[in-house]
Amino acid sequence: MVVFEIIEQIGRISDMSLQELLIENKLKIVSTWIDRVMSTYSADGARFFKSQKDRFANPLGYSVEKGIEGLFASICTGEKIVDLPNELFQFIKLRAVQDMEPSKALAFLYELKDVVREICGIEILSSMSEEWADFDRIVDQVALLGFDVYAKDRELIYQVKIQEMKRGNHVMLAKGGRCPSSLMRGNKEEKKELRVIKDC
Amino acid sequence: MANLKADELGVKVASDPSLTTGAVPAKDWMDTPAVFEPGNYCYQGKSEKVEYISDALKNNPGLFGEPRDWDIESEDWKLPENWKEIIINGIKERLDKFRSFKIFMDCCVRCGACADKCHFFLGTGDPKNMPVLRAELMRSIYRNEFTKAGKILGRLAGAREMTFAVLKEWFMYFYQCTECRRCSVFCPYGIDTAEITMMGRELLHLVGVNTNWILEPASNSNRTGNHMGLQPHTLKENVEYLCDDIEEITGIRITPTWNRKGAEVLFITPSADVFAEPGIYTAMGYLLLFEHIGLDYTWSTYASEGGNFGLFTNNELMKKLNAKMYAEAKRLGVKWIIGGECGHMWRVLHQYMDTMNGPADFLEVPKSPITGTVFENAATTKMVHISEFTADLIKHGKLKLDPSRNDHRKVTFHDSCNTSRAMGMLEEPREILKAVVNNFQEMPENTIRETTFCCGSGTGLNTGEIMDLRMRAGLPRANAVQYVHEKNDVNTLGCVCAIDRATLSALIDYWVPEVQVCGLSELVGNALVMDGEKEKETGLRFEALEGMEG
Repeated sequence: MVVFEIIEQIGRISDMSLQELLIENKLKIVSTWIDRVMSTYSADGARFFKSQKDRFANPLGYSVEKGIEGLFASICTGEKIVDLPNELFQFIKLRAVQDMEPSKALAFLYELKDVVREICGIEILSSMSEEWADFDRIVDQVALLGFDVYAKDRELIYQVKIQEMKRGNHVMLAKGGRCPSSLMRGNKEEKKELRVIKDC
Repeated sequence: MANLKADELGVKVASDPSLTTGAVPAKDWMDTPAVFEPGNYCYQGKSEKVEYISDALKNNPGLFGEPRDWDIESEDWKLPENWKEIIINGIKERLDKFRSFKIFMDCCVRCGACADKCHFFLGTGDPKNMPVLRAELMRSIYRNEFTKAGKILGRLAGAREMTFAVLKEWFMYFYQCTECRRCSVFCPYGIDTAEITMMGRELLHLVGVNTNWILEPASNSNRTGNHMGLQPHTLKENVEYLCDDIEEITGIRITPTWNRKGAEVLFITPSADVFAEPGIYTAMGYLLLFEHIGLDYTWSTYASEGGNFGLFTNNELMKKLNAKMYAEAKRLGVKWIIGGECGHMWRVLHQYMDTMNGPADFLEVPKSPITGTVFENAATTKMVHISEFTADLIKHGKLKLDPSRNDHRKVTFHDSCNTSRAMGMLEEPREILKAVVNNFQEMPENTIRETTFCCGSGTGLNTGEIMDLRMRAGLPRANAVQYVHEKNDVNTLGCVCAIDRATLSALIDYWVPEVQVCGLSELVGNALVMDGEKEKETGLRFEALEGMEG
């Protein structure tokens, strides 16, 4: 009986397109993909990020869940992906400042290939080599979009640092022309004078 | 197989079998070492600053350890030979001196209520950023040295020996806590985790483990009266520049007085208000407000800092820096003090001042000369927050206000950790906002008032070398701002704290760059209708008012 069911299942799947297969396994794929993302955090962190559903009490968990769900829904349409969901923007922005190598920060996007193979079964997918190649291309394209976001965020961090420095000296820069470096020079001069006085 | 390209470049890359897993330490927290890398720590204090500050506190020798050059990333911190003894004795001394510390070491039942309330944990998932575990870093040593169970059972009882690895861990995680006390709100025992961090930092200072970003402003404050080390003429000059701008915008010339004996009120504000953006616009708001009501007040070039970075080092330095405000008030013979928009100044004032330097009996209980209101809440400290003072003026209808002058702003309000949780000032800023702007939108309930999220860079963590850390720690705050920006078109984030104004500006530049940060007094200044003013076309930062664009 069980054998018949399996054969029937294989027959049914072999009639499905990859897109249909993705849609059918959507919940499982999304949840496994989220688990994989969470596995990059500590066990305590991951447990909390997955369980707390309040978006303000748990912004990271929320952005991962909604971002991954939204992105996978777009992938399931089979259409070209030109933008990432807002939540994923926020998550990549966070990854950009989470003290990890860029490759690790963005690896979760490529992870989808592995997750889909694991859940849908490599044997079945190998019979859809063309569709599989298309799917790979979509994931690669998504990863490149992610790379754009990440790179912009890293650049932004340096701008933020410069802005912060500028803000700290507004009056001196704008009015008196006494930039921090001239103040530092002033300090040195002051010290020299002090030394001369001491030596005398 | 080695990744040749990565090896050549000297970088690590994620690799198979699973791209994203396997990098997180699965070991017990006690076995997971703190590793310092550029970007995850604040630079160490310069030896001359340690020398200076030790000299300034020479009646309490040893509080800042031996001045020396050392490197945080090195395995040799050039600690004194007997550093462990110094730490353990330091703990003992503090257990005897501060009853709260002893209670906090003993009474935690590890219920976990605080675990997910810390912004550092929410932005990193690092278990040592759970307040309960951050406190365990200290408790484990306490148990080992001061409890029978710890001495006998060791690790089984959650105890461990003080080692260099533990010291590194302390330095890492007591500087990944902004002492914001959000976790304390949720603790059923009311454990003030901030005070554990404060003890941790005090102990680290005893062996000369410190950060320059805190020591230098504290030294400057002791030397010239303010964090930047601005000298009297520079302070005065900077405020004059602000008065020039006010004249250009409103047509009104203001000439504030300095160090004036016999003034009724001494005004003390964070020095960032007179030299940094956007604090300078807040300072322009103060100047306009005091002019508007004809307050008899003076600025001081000596008590020229509301902030107190001593709070982030040890209680003795905090006490000394706090005392200078009162010394100046006494010298000038004022009746009472108004404090500007600041956060941690008010924690020092409301929670420590009375037992450190108070009560300030030589001053009078603050009474508003305009409304007659007596500020009983400041009966012993004699110091009133500018927002309390302004809200009272508004309540009594003493200000001529035109909120439409802020119509180019849709404002939300960030409750500063210290003013909300350490002094309970929740309604006053909101009363001000309702009077001076037409568009005010609260952020979600669990991110404001007592449960407000920290800016992520308080307690002397507002330094550039840890910008990434600050951005992830500020995620929960920025996330709520982003929400009201997207949902309600909010374009302004108001607050009443100078550190907030500086740190939120950076945070918002990264997360929600469409929003601007401002002090509430700037909005008050914008809305004030001054006698004899010219037609206003811009706000205090020369931004066009609604209907005046182009």
